[in-house]
Amino acid sequence: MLPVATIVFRECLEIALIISLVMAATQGLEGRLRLILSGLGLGFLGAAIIAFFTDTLAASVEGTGQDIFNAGVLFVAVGFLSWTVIWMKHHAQHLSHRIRKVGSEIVAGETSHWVLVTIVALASLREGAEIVLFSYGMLASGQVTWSSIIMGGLLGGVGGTVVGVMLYLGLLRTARRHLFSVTSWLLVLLTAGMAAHGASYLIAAGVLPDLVPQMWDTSHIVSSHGLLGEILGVLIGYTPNPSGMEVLFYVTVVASIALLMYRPWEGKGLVSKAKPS
Amino acid sequence: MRFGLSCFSVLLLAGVALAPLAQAETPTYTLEIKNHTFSPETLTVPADTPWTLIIKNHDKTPEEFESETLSREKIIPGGGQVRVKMSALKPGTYPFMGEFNPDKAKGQVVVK
Repeated sequence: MLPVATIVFRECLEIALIISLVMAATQGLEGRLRLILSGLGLGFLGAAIIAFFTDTLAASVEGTGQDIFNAGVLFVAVGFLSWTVIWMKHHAQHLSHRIRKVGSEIVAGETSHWVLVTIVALASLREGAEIVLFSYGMLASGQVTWSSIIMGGLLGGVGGTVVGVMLYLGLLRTARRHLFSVTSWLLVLLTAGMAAHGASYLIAAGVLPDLVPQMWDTSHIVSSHGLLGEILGVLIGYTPNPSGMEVLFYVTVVASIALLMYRPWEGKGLVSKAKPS
Repeated sequence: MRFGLSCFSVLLLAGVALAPLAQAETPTYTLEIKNHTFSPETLTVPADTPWTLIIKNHDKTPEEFESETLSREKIIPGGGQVRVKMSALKPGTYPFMGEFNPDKAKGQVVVK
């Protein structure tokens, strides 16, 4: 039962952390819980379909299909997340200039609902597929029974969700004044981490060169298998030993989003010109 | 975002263009999974050379090859075969394991 709980915990943690950040960033968005649940539902449905087709997927493109697929999912998520962060930045400024609403909580009031659904669905897609595959493998090999799969799944699911909720509440509490900028920067780092992770899949598939095999190695300080390493891995894309290409992707994404958030070419003091949507 | 996406596209295109170069003549090594164990358990590869790892899973159940030091993770479906491009490595020992059967499925890559 314990390995099931561990795997489910790890995967649920990733999903829960991403959802917590998105929740914190979309304070005040009406019906967001329903949107997030729809995203989760779609994601798990997709996960089951992917798990079913794993054999075909894994065998495709000379045995690298799964990596290319994972990279694709991550890059689409990177696109949506970048769009959200940049859009929120401009929308928030527009709001605070025009309406002067007390508290910056009402940030993403009109953000396209389907973007939120898509982000959550993509986040739960890969992780969900892994849970399904693993559970299926354990059952098929007769190593565990249905009841221990369900127990382990519940334990891991609850554990992962608790950590995610703690992060969400922590964010709301500690960063109340700067909630918006803190969560958007966390989202930027999360997005950059996803891009770097996507790059690592393409390197493993032989599509991208690694440039430098290993830029540094901090696995003796924070292992990616420990709880801290796992959490940092999702939140800021921490990897103990990234290749040159991964670092390049990370830096490029942070720089591009920052540029589009602050738009230095638009000049200072002109932010209130941000287009009403 | 458009800028970011165009950066990706450029990187991706560059990668696709470079891929055949990167794949040219890399030595290939094979790991087999039987009864939730890896064979060979110790794989010896040359230092400072990119190489390709092929993993064949003879079990009916899926396995996930995972190594923190090699920074690779890859699911191999039951009865399936996958290919992983590995980076040039410095001499040393790099442990790996099967995440779905961590007690039994263990091994290491020794780089000389």
